[in-house]
Formats: sequence, structure tokens, C-alpha cells
Amino acid sequence: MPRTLQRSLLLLLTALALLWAAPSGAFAAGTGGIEITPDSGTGPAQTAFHVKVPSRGSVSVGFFLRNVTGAKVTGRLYATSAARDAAGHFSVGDAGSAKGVSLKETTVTLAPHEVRHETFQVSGKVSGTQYRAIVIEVQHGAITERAATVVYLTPGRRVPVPVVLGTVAGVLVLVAGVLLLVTRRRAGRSATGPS
Amino acid sequence: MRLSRRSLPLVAAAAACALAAPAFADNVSVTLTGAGGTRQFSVEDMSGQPLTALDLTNNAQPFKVHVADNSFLPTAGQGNYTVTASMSNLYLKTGSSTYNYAVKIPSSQLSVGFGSNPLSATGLSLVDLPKLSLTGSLTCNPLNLQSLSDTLGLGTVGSLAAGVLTSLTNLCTAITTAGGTGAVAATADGALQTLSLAISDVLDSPSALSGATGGTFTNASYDSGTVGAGDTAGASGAPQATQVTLMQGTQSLSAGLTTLIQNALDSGLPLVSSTGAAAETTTLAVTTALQNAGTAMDTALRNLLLTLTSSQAATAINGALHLAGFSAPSLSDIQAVTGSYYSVPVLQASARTPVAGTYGGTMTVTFVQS
Repeated sequence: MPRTLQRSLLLLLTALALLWAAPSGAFAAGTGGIEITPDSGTGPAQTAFHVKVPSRGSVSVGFFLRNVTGAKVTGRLYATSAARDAAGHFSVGDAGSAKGVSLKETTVTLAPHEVRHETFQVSGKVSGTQYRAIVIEVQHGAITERAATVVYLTPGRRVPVPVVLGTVAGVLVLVAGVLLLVTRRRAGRSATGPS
Repeated sequence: MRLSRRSLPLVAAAAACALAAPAFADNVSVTLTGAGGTRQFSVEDMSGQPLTALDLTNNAQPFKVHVADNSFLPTAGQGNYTVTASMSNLYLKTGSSTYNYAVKIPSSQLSVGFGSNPLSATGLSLVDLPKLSLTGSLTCNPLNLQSLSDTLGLGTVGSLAAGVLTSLTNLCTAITTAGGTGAVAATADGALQTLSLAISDVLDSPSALSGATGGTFTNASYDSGTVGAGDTAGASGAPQATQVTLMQGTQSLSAGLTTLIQNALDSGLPLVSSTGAAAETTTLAVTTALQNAGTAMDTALRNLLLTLTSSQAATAINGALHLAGFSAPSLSDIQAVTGSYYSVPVLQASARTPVAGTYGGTMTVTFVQS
């Protein structure tokens, strides 16, 4: 067998092995054919949003909206407050009640099997663990169906690293400036001093 | 361009690499197809169609809450869910979608109750990665290597390849060192199996069901998108809407589900096959298990298997080892769950209409996944 062919087969087998090892299953949940899947990036997949909120600034959180049907689907997307009872079960509030979560309430329409990437912003001081939810809502006459995915908010870094670095850099510049000033004054005094 | 003497070897090496590159530049198409799993929540009438209206003429109407999993991946502490309902007041209808908000039946005259068996799970199947307990017993007399060769289905010792013969001899030595009889005990990953499960207790389903508690809609909902949103006077200062629980699902692997999975696993296949198909496990999984088992005899058997062709290895494994059973599965062994979970609440009314007419409202059913 030619060496090139051998190498190709080896690479192909490696690729197949990687595919075999690829995780299956899914974590999304939804209603009316629309599902919300938290975008966990390179981290492990999650069934809910787990967000570390910096004490200053905001953090952007991604998610996927997916039409799991072969027909066009429409739903209302918004963020809400959420509460957890002593038994660990959740309830959610009305649209617009999600303090600190910026997600414009909107009606989304997805083409058959369309997947769309969306984001929401989280800001504000968080202490302990707080809860919000991202909701997809569909209306069927007198029935409103809502599928909510919980957002867990926990405090991030107390002061973001860029702020710390900026502060340190500022102090260093200040110290260097003072030293330069002192050195020049001393040099000036030496030049004009009594001979 | 002039090149220094020092740079000449570098240039030569680079040129050599460039010339050799075509031999290493094989393109391999890589594709990945996910299972495309879904979890969809819906509210249905008793025939399974989307519920669009609730007729309380007879003061009660049952409906279905349906959570459909398709290749959903269960993970400990994730994917639990709660389904609740809230209700607006019922307002006197003055047109197809207009209401007299001054004339209403309070939501507190509506409640959700349940029959005796309101929760069910149907069509459940899951993909399980079983763990096989492998055992075997090999004997060998150094003066009769042929006997061991026969046990392993390798044929006449005299016709074995030199490498195979050496490995067989080493295995015999390991068995002899162990006292003439060597026991093999190893745990190997099996091939994925798709299992259909008939659950008799909803607490044994992959999403253990509970929470069919219901209750009275004491406080009405005035949420946007509902009929109650138009009742601005009623909404002013109103307490938070009462949410009654219809169903809860908790990802779990109960003792009952563990037993169901173990009993459903197919134990009738050969341990391995030369093609890897239609078998309990693979040669690679067995050699890995032997490596992990770690005794001198396990290692010697593994080394022998590595010298054999796939066909010979399959024969040797099937001759030397047998399936003692399946280890108890863990949640991480379950690769995907498919099935439907139902709750059947009954919306009940004890309403006295203030004036004759048709009244309308909105029921909001909320599924929350954590």
C-alpha cells in the first residue's frame, strides 16, 4: 500500500474515532417548536444559563434559538424574574421583570429548522445567587404556553482585571512622573547652586 | 539575493520540507452530526392536539401537559423542570376578543385538581453504554502448550507465527506462575445499546415525575399577553398571580430504573466479533480492560491478543472470556433519552356568573427548566 494512502487511511480513522467520541444528546428546551439552548462556548453544555456578573460593567451571554420543526414558527422572546422555592423548584414572573437583564422583548419568527444566535446583557451588582429566566412564549387561543430557561447569576470578579491593570499602570506613571520631577529639580538646584 | 553560509543549511531544510510536503498534505473531510436532541413542552387536549380553549360549561375540563424528550442528554443536577399554571379572571365577552372588565368571575373560583393517576411516562427509550463484567479461567501446562492454544482457538502450535507463539508461551508462563490456573476478571465498556423501557412507577422514569398538586388560583394573573392585561383597574396593586403546580421532573437514576436497564440489556450476543458489529463489546475495549485489570496474566493475555489478527482475537476472546453480567449503570452511562412525560390536570370551576353571558380568560402554563 502506498505510504500516502496509508497516511490518508490513518487520518481518516483518527477522524472517525473523534466523531465516535463526540458527545450526543442535547440540552435545549422550548415550546411551539422553538428551543433555547445556552451557548456554553467551549465549556460543558448546560441546560440553564450560569452567568458570573462583574461588579462593574456588563457581561454578554449567548444562546441559540432553534426551530425544531419543518414549518415556520413564531414566538415571543423575553426575560423575566425567577424565584426558587425551598424544594428547589422555580417559578418565573412576567415579561420585563428581569432586573439587570437586557433582552429586548421581541416576536421571533424562524424559518423551518433555522438556528439563530442571540445574546442578552447582564449588569448590576449581584450578591449570592440570583435567578432570572429567558422565556419563549407561544399563544394558542385561550392558552399561553411559556418555556423558561433559568439564568443563575453569581458575583464575578469584584473588580475587573482591566480596571486593576489600569489602576496599577496609572499609579506607576504617577510615581515615575514624581521621580522625574524630583530628579530635574535636584539637577536644577545643582546647576544654580552656590559656586 | 546573497545567502550566508550559515543560512544555507536552513534554506536546504526548508526546501526539503517543501518538497516533502505533498506527501503529508492529505486532506481529510471531517463532519460531525449531532443527535439533534430536543425537549418540547406543550399543552394538549385529551386527543393530543394543541389546546386552544377551555370549555367550563360542565364546570370541569381535563387537559394534558406534555414534555417530549428526543435524545435528551441527562446530567446530574441539570435539566430538572417544573410546570405551573396561572389564570386570569374570566371576563364577560362583548365581542370575539373584547371584554367588559367590570363584569368578571374571579380566578379564585377556578382551580386545578387531579385524578388518581395523573402522571405517566410513555414511549421511553434510552441509549446506554453498558459496563460488562468479564470473567474467565485459563489453565496451562508448559509441557502442553497446545491445550491452551486450543482453548483460545488458535490452532496448531507448530503453525503459529513466531510473535504469536512467544506471546502464547508468555501467557502460559504467567498462568503457571499463578498456580496453573489463572482467573481473569475485568470490566469493559460495552457497545451502545438502545433500550425500550416499560416503566411501572413514574418515579423510576429518567425524569422522575411528581408535583401534581394543583390548587386554587387565588390571585389572578394580569400578565401581558393575557386577557387579564386589559383589566388595568384590577391589575393596579394586585398581588402576584397564584401559580399552581402541574408537574415536576427530576433527572434521576433510581434503583428501580437501574434494575430495569440491567434487565433490558441484551446479553445474548457474542462478546466480540471480527467486524466489531453484532457483539457485546470490541477487541479494543477488552484489551483496554485487561490493561486496567493489571495482573501479570491479564497483561500476558492482552499482549497475546495484540499479536493476533482481528478474526483470531475475536475467537480467542470468545473462547477465553464470558459475560458474567452488567455493572449497575451510572447517569453518565446514559447517552440519550427519548420519551413522553404527561400530567393530566382537570380545570374546575365553582363559578356563579354575575350576569348571563359568555366569559373568557387566559390560562398561562409555564415550563421552567433549571
